[in-house]
Amino acid sequence: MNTQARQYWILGTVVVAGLALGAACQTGGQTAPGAAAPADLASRTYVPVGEWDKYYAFLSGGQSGAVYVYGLPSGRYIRSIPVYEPRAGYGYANVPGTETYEMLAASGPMWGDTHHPILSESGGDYDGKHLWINDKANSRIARIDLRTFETKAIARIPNLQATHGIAVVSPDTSYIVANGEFQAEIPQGRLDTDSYGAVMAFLDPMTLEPRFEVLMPGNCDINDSSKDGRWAFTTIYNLENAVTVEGMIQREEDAIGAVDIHAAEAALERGEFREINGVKVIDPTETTEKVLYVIPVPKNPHGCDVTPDGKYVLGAGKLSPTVTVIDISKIDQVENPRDAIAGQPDVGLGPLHTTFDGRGNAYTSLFVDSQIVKWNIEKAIAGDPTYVIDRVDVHYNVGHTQATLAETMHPTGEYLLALNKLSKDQYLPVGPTMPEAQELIDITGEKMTLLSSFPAEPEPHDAVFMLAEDLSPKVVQTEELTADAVPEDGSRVERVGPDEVHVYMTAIRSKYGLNDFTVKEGDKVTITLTNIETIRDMSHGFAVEGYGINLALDPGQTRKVTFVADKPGTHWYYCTWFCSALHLEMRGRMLVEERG
Amino acid sequence: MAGAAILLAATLVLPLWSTRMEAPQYKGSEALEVHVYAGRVHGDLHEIELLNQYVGVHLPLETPELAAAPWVLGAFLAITLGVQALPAAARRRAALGLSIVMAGVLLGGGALLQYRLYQMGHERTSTIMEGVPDFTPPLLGSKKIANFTAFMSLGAGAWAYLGALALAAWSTRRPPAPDPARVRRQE
Repeated sequence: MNTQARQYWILGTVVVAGLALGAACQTGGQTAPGAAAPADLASRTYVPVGEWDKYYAFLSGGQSGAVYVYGLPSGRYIRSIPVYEPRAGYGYANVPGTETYEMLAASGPMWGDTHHPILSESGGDYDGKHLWINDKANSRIARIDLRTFETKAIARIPNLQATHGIAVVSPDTSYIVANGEFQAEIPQGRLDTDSYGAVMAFLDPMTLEPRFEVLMPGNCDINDSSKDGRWAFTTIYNLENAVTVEGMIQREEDAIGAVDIHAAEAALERGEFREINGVKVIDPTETTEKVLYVIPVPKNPHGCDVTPDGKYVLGAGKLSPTVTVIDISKIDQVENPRDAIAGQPDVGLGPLHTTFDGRGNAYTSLFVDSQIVKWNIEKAIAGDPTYVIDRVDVHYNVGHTQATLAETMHPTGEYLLALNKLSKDQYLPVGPTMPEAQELIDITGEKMTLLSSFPAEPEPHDAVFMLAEDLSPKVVQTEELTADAVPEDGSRVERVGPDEVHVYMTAIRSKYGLNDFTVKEGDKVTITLTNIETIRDMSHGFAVEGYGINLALDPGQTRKVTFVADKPGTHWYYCTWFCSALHLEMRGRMLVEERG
Repeated sequence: MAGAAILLAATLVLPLWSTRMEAPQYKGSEALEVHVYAGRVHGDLHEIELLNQYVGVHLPLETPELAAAPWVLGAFLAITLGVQALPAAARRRAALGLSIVMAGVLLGGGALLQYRLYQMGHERTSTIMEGVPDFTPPLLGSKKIANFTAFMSLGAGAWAYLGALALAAWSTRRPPAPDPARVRRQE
């Protein structure tokens, strides 16, 4: 072999070896240690037909004005709970003259922007009674009864614009805390751009009426409470009190505010408040006892999360790559509020929210990095450089993240949901706007494992979870008959005035209590309808052709609608929930006589 | 006979015969049950009647034998208690008579129930839903009816009746003659 040929051989050997090495690296990259095969991942989220998921997941529905209910780990969409928007299929607020319509209309516009679902607690754990959800767009809050998954109360919060962060005051739901994010006139209803302010409202959990409000500096963003019921925390941005983006990011620091609830209650007793719009409003600069502590953190922080053991409150940096860890026990002990800061670990770009596994680890969503970062809280405080344990890529631009039961004192540390703001290429294209992507991550191991992804209508901001075994036994299967229920033999028509008719009807497979009823053109008609079924899931509907009416009735439920019969002729009414083999035949006629 | 009296008293309050109807959407605690007691029928009758509007099964809920059942069983109970006062030989004869009548009622009742089950599946009030042929559920065992499988079984009351019958029959026996060997030893 001549020299040139030998050189070619050597070159060829090197190239082949290089390609082989490259291929080996490629393969190595695909089966990195800890990564599971797809079939294994699928089995970890698979729930057989007919079996239940281990967890309920309640996701806020964003601009749908609803709350979405999913099952985890399967990611099955189970139902939505309409709150701030009409939903004909549930007969919710879709027809003027119905109870749900009146409730929603009385509270404000017929749409809402829901961000943060929160669950009622007893003893620091979820008791499965109520869920509250904010409406940022119209400064409202609503309560859902978890026995029926129906909205039971909605209220606009006085003196506040843009309900943003809401939190249950642990451990026994003594208050619901609601942040007013936007600064505006207090009281509202007049133009005076020099007298802007914002409040944190402390609401009665059942009636949603404010027991008191505290005037706050800047814009209150996300909030949480300490586990002993003493503190309400909030991240505060825009201490500049600016009204433009540029103006809101001038200062190097904003804050975490800590409201001492006990001191606020003492101030109320001493009469240290002003009554505005019928609400007791505390100005923390005017109280004998200190009500508000302001702890400086890097500018424009976002997430505000208390650790399950109640020791620390964590403020996520958003524009700073850090999470500020504040020692709650030091807040009222230190002279300089900065001294309450136990640590400020660097976690990555765009930290927005932090959640917990109950084993001393924190999981922070990184919006810019599109990652969830797992880090150890005590190691970070101690300055141990190994505090970051793992990172997992999510798709894409994660906002909130929540681990199972992380908001209680006993997280299960099993799954974590990354609620991503953009899904882009993750699902089949459905136009320029794509649904949001939820990604389920197994956090039982040292390293996180991304299990699955499921879409949702825009936009679940945040989520909370309950163990199915804790909630499912509390969910009712049929409604109890109310005093106004129409009895089995009580279907009838009553003319109560020259222009007013009351119609009482039952609904049961496969018949309404009245095959027809007759009214006169222009009559004000009130229909009271009772679904007298006694078994689960046997819902009936009641739609009246051409009148825009659709009621939906759970088994045992009574609903009413009032309308003017202004269209003469025959108008069929029919059942809109497929109920039986004779569902299509389940109908009757409203006969509207012309007035002479 | 005292034991028989207690068991007969139980037949008045316990279910004599039961049906459990299961379908994919009616399973576990949601399966439909019918319990026949002396004089009355309990269970998920409302739901069964609602479903029945498509199948038109005849539901014999008010029949003479059902109305008579508490009287017949009550009479047996009264006789059982009454014969306690009789001398032994008369008591045995009464027990024999009672056993025969009770066995006859058992057979007759069973036959009547089987007839009612035949009626159920044949004297249909309507046949809105096609594809469900006439049927006869067995007295005991199972039967597929439309999307349901019905399981028929004896109730605790029926077992009590059988026990009472067995005790009545047992008490017809003569007491054993004295053992001659034992008599000799005593002499």
